[in-house]
Amino acid sequence: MYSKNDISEELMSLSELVATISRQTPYRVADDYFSDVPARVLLRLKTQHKPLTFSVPEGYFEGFAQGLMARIKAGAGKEAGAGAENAAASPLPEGVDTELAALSPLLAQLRHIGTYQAPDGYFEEISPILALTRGKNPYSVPEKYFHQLPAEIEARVGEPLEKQQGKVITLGSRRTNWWKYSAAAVVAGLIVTIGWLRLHVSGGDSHPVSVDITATLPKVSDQELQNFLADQDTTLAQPTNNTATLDFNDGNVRSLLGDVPDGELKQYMEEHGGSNDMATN
Amino acid sequence: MTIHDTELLLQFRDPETKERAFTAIIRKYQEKLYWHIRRMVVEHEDANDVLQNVFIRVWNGLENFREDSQLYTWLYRIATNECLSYLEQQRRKSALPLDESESGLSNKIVADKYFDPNKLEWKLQLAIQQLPEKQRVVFTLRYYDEMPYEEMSRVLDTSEGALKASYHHAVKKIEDYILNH
Repeated sequence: MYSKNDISEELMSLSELVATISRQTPYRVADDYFSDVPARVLLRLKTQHKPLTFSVPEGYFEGFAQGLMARIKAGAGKEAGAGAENAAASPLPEGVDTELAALSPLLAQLRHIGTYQAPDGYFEEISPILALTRGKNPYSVPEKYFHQLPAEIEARVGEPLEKQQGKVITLGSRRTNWWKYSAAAVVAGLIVTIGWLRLHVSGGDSHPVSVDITATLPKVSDQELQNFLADQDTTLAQPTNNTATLDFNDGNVRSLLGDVPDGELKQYMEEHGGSNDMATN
Repeated sequence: MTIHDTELLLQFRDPETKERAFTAIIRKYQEKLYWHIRRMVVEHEDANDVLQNVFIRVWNGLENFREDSQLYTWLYRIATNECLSYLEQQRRKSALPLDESESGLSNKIVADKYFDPNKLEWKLQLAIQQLPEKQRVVFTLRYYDEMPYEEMSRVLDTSEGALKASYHHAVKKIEDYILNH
């Protein structure tokens, strides 16, 4: 059992400052507030949650399932389309009718009359196919399914969690698919190699490979040089245009030749003959 | 004369005496629950709403109340849950983050007609509002309602050790707040 002193001592051990503060709550409430609370709560219950107590006739739920089954067996389900009120009223046990008849014979008679009715042949007119299928459930369950279901669920409730874990579906056998991954890797390798070659070999114009000829030439024998020159005679005899090129655009040329007077350029053109596409300032 | 809870529960289950028993239950616990709620929601109007909601829940659930716990504990549990739901609702309505909604409660304290910034009791209320919600509940249940940890553990569904630690932290935070404000 606890006592007020225990709580005070505990508080004192935690914080002397907080322990010295008055435990009186500083909030105030109207003097007569608490005298009204029960009445206000009951009023709310009656107004917002009316009726205060819902009641059903004795034995209502015991008889409900039986009444409904009896109605289904008697083929009363066919009447359901005639009006929702009929459907709601019919499965109720006799007790309700008796009670209502005692209270109001008029209402007891009205209970079985559906207010809303569809004209004869209404559904057939809208869609003959739908009229044929109306009320027929296309789905079926295995025989005695619902009879066994509660027992099955009960049995599964007791199962340990591991057994209830979902089946793990693999994404395919590794053995059967290894060649697919290999083929994909080969294709990917080819694409990368070709791409690299295109970028680095054919693009060599912009990044020429530099070879230090002066360093390597002394290592080559005279005989090898003679053989090489002999092989190259045919190609050297032909005019070539293999001089190194630079990518100049108009802007570069203009900036290079901007300061050269026209007279000097004309003289150069006369001496070196005629390239017509030389840019001038 | 105070009627024992067991007797009240028996009367509540009898349709003849149901309303009378319910009124007696309200009378017996209304003040304790009101102050517990008021310390959480601060304003009287809010406390009144929550208190009435609590008793409506009690009316709806008392038929199924299992007597393996005390009625008093059960009522506090409902009241606490109702308070936390109410505060959550208010927060959602105002779309304020948690810390700002706590400052909203502090503003309500400052706006109280009787608020006196020089009085320690009021500073304490401001300090309580700085606490996280669960810690606030633990502190008020222990400090004001003097509830033993064992019972509190049933109300809040938390271990006694966790509650003791929570109370300890709450007291320290309150002390810090009071010293620094």
